[in-house]
Amino acid sequence: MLLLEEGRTASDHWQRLAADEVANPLPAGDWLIHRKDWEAAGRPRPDSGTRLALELDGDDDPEGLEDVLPRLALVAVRFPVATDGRGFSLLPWLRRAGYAGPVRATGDLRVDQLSALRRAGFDSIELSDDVDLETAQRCLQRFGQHGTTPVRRAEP
Amino acid sequence: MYQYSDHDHALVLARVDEFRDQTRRHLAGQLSEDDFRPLRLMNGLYIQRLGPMLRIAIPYGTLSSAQLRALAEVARRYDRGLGHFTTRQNMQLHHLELSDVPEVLADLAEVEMHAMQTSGNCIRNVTSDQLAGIAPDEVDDPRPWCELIRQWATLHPEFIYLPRKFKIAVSGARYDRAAVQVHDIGLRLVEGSGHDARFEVWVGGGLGRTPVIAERLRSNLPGREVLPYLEAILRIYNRQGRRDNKNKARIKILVRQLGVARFRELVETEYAAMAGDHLLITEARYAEVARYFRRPEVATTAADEEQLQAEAEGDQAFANWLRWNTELQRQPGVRAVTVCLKNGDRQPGDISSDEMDVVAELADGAGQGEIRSTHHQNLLLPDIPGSRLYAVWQALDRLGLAHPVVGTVADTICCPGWKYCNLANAESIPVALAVQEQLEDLDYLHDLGEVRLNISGCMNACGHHHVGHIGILGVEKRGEPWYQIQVGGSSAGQVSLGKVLGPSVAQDQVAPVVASLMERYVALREGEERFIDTVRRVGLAPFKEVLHAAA
Repeated sequence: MLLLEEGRTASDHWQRLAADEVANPLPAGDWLIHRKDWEAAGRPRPDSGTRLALELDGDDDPEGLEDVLPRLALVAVRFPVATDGRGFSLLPWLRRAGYAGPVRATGDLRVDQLSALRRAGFDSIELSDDVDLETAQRCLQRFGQHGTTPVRRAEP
Repeated sequence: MYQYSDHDHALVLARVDEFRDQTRRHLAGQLSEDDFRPLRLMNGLYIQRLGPMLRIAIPYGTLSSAQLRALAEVARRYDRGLGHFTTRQNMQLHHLELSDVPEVLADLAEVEMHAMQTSGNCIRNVTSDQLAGIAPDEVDDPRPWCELIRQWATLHPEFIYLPRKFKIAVSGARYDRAAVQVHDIGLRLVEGSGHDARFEVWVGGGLGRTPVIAERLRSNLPGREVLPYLEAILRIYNRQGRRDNKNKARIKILVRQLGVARFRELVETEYAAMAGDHLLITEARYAEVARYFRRPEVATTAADEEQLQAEAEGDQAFANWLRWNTELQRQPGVRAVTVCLKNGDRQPGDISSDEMDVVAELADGAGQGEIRSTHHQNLLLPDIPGSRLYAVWQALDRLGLAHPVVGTVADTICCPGWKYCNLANAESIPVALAVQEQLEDLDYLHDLGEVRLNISGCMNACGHHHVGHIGILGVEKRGEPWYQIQVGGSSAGQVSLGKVLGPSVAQDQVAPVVASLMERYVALREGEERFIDTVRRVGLAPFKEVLHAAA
């Protein structure tokens, strides 16, 4: 289930590619690729008709991605376990490295973390499908705008 | 005292609502124990031997009389009419029912209190000098800064899943009473006043299994930059602190592994590059908070002071109390009275609901409605005019809260130990009580002067044994409790860590050994020298002899 920061669910149009499926150049489509698989495939660039999203592990950092960040349509940050908060601090580093687009939280997440993820600046959160939507929406909206940071967003 | 804004109120109510929801889902089987644990810990709730323990935040140790009455009432209604003050200025209730905890929190929210971040791997309750705003040696009142830090740290979305707990202390005095050098971050207000205050920033101190004295990261940080600078430190720690081993996850380990120079470089680089303008504390923002900490002057006369001296001359017990349990403030004519929570069978830091009500009444009637909780597990009533001291003493004495031993070896810091805690290896409270019994002669205690005795029931060091002038640590040997004895620690002024004197001793030997250490001190001291100063002058050898003679 993909939950957007305003509380709606959305269908996920991004297609994940496994390590051995990443072609260079990329075919047309919306591709979500883990950073290390993308690098192993020779860092294929998005082209016309192709949109590229990269997934970073929470403990990764944006170093070495500066040139491609402005061309990404999405960055996903993976939380390896619910209590590992490194992904929260990766987000300001992504912004600083020049990425202004949407950021998705993914991995081992719990409904009780949704408010913090939203307030930290994540635009969407991937949850397991067995999560109760009503509970998730309630958790997401808690604490309003408390502690939010003015972050640079994508141009409309 | 700070009063909540509408935003603060809304936040605390939303947190009560959230915890009610989490507890309901947990009790309904929708939230597993593993998933519930970090959530309840972040809200101060432990599951201990006797059931749930709730740790209630007392930000920088300042309470209003209405808040103390509310604590008395929740302890009466949901616990056994008993509360316990901790070394971090918080209050713990030890006998609650899990299903009652949301109600306790709802009651506390009505008086602007909560249990947020009193536990868990997040930024904990900010602590300060119990004499903040009243100490004669203060550069400036640190509490407006403490409050601004509290607001920033509360439910900060980036820092609620840190590698480990994170404690911040702030002191504004020349003589440090907030133990800033044994905190993850310690701030010392060293220069300037109001919005122009400047801070030293200390980082990487801590007690626990690996005691470390903090390193100075910055010597002259402008107050307005405190929050973005803290954010830079926290971000580096959140990113780089170890997560593979709980015992190596505190920032002190990171600072030690990187070296302070490298750690500083990382923080300064982050600080220079980060978007932190929204965190700068403007003059208006400071003023908005600082106005709550101004206090009306108390009108007193020279005749009041003369009468007080006459009362003291006429009553030795009152004179003792005045000498040991009160201190002068920088405001003329008033004193800060320590309500001593150490006496007889009382477990250090414990206070009943009825006693809390009396203390609240004294704060209203004789003071300015304000109470402090202290790092030494006592309470403090600021602003008591000289003309009211005798009556305050009588009221406290009736309850056994005027034992004139504040700062002496009988004013022990002690963790709850075996009786409550899952972690403890040994009894701690009976050891504290045995020492008090052994050294009960008041004249002798007063002659010994300031001696800080700190007792922990396990190496997690909740009783801060590393920084007691005498520190006692409970350890387990073949299923029996034994006690390691160290001397030379100090958390105040010049911070130092104690050193172990020798092999550990059996429980019934602890009090006699402490008594022998005192005898040796009396034999060695020069003039008015305090115990800790004698230890620093002569070294450990004579005190090791004492231990070897006993073992």
